[in-house]
Amino acid sequence: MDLQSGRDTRLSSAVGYSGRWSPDGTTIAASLEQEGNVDLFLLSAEGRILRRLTDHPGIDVSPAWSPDGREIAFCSDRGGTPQIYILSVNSGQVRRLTFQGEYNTSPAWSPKGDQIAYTGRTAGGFRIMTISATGGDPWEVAAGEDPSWSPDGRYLVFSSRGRLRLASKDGRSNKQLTGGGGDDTSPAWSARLQ
Amino acid sequence: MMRCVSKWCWWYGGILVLVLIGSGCPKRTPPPSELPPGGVGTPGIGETGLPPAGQAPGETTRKQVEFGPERGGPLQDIYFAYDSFDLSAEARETLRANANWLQNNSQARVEIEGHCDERGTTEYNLALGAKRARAARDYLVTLGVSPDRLSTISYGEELPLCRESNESCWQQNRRVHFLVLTR
Repeated sequence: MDLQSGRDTRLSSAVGYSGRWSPDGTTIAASLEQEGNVDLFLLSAEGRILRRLTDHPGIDVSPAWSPDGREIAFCSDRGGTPQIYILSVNSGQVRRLTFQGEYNTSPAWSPKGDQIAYTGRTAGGFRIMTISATGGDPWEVAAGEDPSWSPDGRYLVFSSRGRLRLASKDGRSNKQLTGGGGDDTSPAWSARLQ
Repeated sequence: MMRCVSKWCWWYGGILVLVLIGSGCPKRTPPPSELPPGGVGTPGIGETGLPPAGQAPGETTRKQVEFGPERGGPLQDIYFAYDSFDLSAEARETLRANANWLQNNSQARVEIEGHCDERGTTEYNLALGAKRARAARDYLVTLGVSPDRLSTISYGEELPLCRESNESCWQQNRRVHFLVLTR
């Protein structure tokens, strides 16, 4: 969508579930459905398919670019349960990032590139988690889903019980941002800290 | 240019058109007694059809009830375990009955709808619903139904039949529904 004119542009005739601009703004990582299977594709800004990024019978969704544009974190059930994986855009190599928990999804790369926030399901419900981009033990931030980093990397905005909440990345502070009727979900922080 | 005035409209656009940056609980035929391997959770999407004018989001749509088993419709829903698109023995039996009806009604075309329970995220459930619809479609094809008569669509968790957060409700929502388009 052109934010100035309000005009929408159709980018793909395929059924698409998500699209994320590359950091340089030239390409889009998108999850598209083909014959019932969802894989990741690299699209031009005009929506032309430049390259298939994943080709697996499992579900591949929720692409998230690294700040340098070299890698894409995504959610896949290729290992039997939904987990976070990292794809090298150039080589196509894929490594698994999360091993704790049976349902981890919605990755978001921190602005510095050192951390990845994601949604993880625990016995108590869904939680906002963070983990080093190179792997390791995850850190529980707060209850919620669909995290998005503040541009300075100090905070995470996310949804919880139909409301948007803001938490420091260590989880020590946590406050509700929205209220009222309806569900508030899937927040995305603008590039400017306001 | 058409303007979206409801969140359903936005979802419609969100599924069919790739957009960047980016709940009423009618009773119906109970699902089989299969239980998922556990799991708890909170709400997490997928709508590719607009509800009729005046219908509140979250209500069962007209097109869902018109030909469904609760109205004596010819084709029965099938149900799935949590986070699975595997066809159970019971689902396969239902699909065989559905295939028989389709072979006796050769003019019928069917839209196969994949649905999920509320747990999980929007995008993942859309993909899971697509997998469920495709699994049902592929099995019908192996039973001799022409693929030209079958189309699939995923609604993810967007059109639940039941909105309570408990396993009984979730079982009803993890389904594939068959909508007869023409007879």
